[in-house]
Amino acid sequence: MLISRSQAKVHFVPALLAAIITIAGIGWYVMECLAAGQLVGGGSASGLACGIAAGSVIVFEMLLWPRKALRRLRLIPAKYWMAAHIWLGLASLPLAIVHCGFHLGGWLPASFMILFVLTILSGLYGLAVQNILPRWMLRNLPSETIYSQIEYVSARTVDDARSLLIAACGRQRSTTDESSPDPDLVESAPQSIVVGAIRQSGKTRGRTLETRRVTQARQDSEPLWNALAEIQPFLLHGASAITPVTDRQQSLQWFSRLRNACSEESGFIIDSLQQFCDQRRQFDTQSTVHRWLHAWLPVHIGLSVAVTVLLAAHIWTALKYW
Amino acid sequence: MAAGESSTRPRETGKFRSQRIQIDYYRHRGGLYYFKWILSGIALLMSGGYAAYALTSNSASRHLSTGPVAQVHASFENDCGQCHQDYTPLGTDSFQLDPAASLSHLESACQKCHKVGNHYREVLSADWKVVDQNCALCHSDHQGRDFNLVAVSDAACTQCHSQLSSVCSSNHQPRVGNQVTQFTKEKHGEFTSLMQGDRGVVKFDHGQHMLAGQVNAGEKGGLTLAMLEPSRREQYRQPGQSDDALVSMNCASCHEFDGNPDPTSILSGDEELGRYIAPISFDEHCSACHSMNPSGRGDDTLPLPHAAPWAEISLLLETKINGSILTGKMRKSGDDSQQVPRPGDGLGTPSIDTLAASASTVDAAVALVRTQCTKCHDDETITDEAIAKFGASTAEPLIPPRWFKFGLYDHAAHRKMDCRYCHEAAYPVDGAKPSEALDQNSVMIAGIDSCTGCHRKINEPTPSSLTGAAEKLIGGQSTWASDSCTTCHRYHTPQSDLVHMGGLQTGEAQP
Repeated sequence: MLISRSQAKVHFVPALLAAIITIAGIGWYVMECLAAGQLVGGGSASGLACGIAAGSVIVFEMLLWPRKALRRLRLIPAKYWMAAHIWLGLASLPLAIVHCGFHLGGWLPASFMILFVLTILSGLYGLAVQNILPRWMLRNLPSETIYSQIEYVSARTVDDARSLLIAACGRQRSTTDESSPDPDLVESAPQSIVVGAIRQSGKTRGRTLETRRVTQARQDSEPLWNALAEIQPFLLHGASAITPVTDRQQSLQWFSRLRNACSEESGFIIDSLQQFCDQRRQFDTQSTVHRWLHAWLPVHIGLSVAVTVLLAAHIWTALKYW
Repeated sequence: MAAGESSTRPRETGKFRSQRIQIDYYRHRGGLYYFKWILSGIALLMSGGYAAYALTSNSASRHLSTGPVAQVHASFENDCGQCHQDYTPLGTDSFQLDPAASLSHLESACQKCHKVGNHYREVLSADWKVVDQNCALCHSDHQGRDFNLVAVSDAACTQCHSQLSSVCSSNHQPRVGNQVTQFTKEKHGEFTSLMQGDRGVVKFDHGQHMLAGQVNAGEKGGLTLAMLEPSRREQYRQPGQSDDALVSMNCASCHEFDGNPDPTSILSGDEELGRYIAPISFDEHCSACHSMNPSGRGDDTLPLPHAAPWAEISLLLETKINGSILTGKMRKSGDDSQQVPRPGDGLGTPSIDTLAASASTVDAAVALVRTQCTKCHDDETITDEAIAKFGASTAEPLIPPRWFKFGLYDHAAHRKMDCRYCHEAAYPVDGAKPSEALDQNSVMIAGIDSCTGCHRKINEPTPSSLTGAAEKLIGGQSTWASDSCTTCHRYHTPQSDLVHMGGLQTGEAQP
């Protein structure tokens, strides 16, 4: 969830509520400590109140799961729910620290506290990357597509490249049977072809469809088909494939040599192939960034589940051996 | 734009667009989705399994406890029920739903092993009686194996002693300092025990006894070792002294370290050597020079028992006189027969007349002994009633073995120091005895100022009063020591102390 000036209205109330709860809890605890002349524990009036508040927040945080599962019920807009999740979750850490009287205790409360801190840290990480990486991707990965469709789009790109070459150079002699293009593309081959491309419209850049008129480049048919054969593994599998264009610098040199080897009319075809490679390279970057952006969530949820279980055990044992 | 590109867009149809992305892509679950469920399942199993193990294992306390118990309680660390009662707050500062029940349970749990007294609970107001019950307020366990349970913070004491009059019930107002917050003269006040003065029942001149031969320097007639009975000379002989040397005494000649002689008081923490000074005994410390005898010191000395009833003294004296008459060592008054006793037979078979020493003779002897008594005692304290009262087994010594009634002073801990540092008034001035002994009228112990020099906050510099001449008196001992309340005071005051210290008395208002 974005934390920005534009979202101030969404964040204001839960942030204020979290601040009030935290300051009140800590203030009360400090006063009780000053009166007692020592750090009081979780069983003191203020410590207990902070513990109850922190525990309640943990339960509330976990309610986000059923909220998402039951999204059809539209129980409060998700953005408000998320804002409360973030700010109350942040408030729960100082409350929990105050509750435990600044020491970990036995293994159960210590495990509970450590997992709780890790949960908060994983959430903070998620909050940070969600505020940073999407903006970075918007600026630096204009070819970004749906993460799960990267392989599919890559396959379509290979089809685009092949159609482009068929339209410009004709079918590859030796592979006529193997690489039969889509009949629809073949029909349009002589005049123009639709390919996925990067466009910019105002401030927004992104990948879209583009119709390109095809020029004839039959004299370069062989080198162009050979070039496609060489870059095809990269277009399909990205950086895991070892090709002349896997490395960005080597790719520039390779396309430069290809351009020199072909006639000027083939420049449009080579530009398109180079653009397809850049697109695939961005898909690879997007995959990496996607993992940074989303892999924390399973960890966060797993830790949250463990914290909730240990919270229940802690409540029971703490009340029993108060 | 590459050469040959066109901006015409008529060929972009919905079909083309739909082909770029799988129309049902959102139905496919990615790896992260399964990863999330797998991790959640693992977390649920591991945390649930651990919680179950922690609750049911034999070492549950290691998992559930807020910390290891102190070493002295380690033997029942895994038996939480020894102290804890299920769902009953027991913590140091626990929010108490039912304070009376919780604290009664806590106190009884502690007193299973620790039979200690309360802290003047009889005089506390209802709210503070509850505080007094809360053992864990000062002795908070689960702080680690090496935690010192008896190291009580000053705040635990000052929470009451900074407002003592409000802590005590209205008809049991305190006579000790009402607002004690720190160990300084201003915030602690002078020692109450010293302000109560000396009861003055024994007259004694420390200054004279500290002089060599017990006479001023250069004066004749000083007491020499040869003047003492041979059996007592070694007691007073200083290293290298011959029998002709003057008797020179120091503090240790009479004062010896002791612990609390009352074995029932052992839990008050004053049983250690040095907390008390052994009581002065006439037979041990005085009789070598001050034998009670009507005829003075000599070969035929008849030592009389100390603190015996006067009838017994009279009988002993009469017997002594009769014996002397029969052995010809003395004659009855008015007897001028000048009989000489025969060897082995004396004056022959005595008759009633010859045996009966005259009443006046005995009375004169008794009067002489009485003058010897009044050298140290006044007339009121040598009556038969007074002697019986002071001689009772429960009676306190005439000279207190411990002057500080509320605090514990440890002579042993201060043994490197010169006694003069605290007892300057007991020493002769310029080698001369004072014109009049005032020892019985004053407590010759320095006040709190002599303590606060060393017993101060650790961040305070050494005061100038501890340099120069004082440095020699301190004897190289450290010039810093703790100023915490528990250095001198104990919380669990025995009930007996409450009675004979007279610190808090029913119905008396604060002075």
